[in-house]
Amino acid sequence: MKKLTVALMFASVSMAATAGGNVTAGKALAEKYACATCHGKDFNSPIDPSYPKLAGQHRDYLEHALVAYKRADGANGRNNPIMAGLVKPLSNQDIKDIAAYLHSLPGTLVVRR
Amino acid sequence: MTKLFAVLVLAGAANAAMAADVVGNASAARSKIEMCIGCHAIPGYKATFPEVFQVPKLGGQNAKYIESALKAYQKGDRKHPSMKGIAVSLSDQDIADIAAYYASQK
Repeated sequence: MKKLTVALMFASVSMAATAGGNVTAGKALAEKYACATCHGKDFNSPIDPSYPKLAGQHRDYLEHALVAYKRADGANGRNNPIMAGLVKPLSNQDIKDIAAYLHSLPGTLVVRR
Repeated sequence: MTKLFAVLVLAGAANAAMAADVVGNASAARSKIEMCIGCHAIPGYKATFPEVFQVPKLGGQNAKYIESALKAYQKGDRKHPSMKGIAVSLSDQDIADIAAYYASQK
């Protein structure tokens, strides 16, 4: 019984980490895939005004957007020639990690009326 | 036929020129953001389809990006049922005004 409890505790801890994404892993992935090349080195200053600022954006929205780029032309997808290629190699965990990292950065985005 | 073609080309050119001339006016957006604020002005508001996620923060975002996102919903490059429904009801001028409005927020 004790063993089971310990096992369950470990399971729930690791699940929580998975659900939230890992900021450190996300930073490494963002560097690997060179996200800053377009979205700006602080993720607040994209190189082109038609690209979004990402720093501090909601974590779950960023996940949704990346997953939608993966769905591409399918139902509820986003069809974008640049992002389509970039999201291809990403696992679901990669997406969560990248979203957690971008969300953790100090940003200038606000929610106002 | 050639004449018709020429007219169509001219019309196309005029359209392109008009599109280029659309300048966003943040103060004109006040009456146009009614559809936006029901979700995007409520901290923590979540969309439930197809994933559950907080709707994006728009204040301070790049105006050109907001425009291109709305046009992508309009055109169907972004397939999100509720955003598509809203985007198709907007003119180019509406989109420019709304984009300027949100970009100006701090």
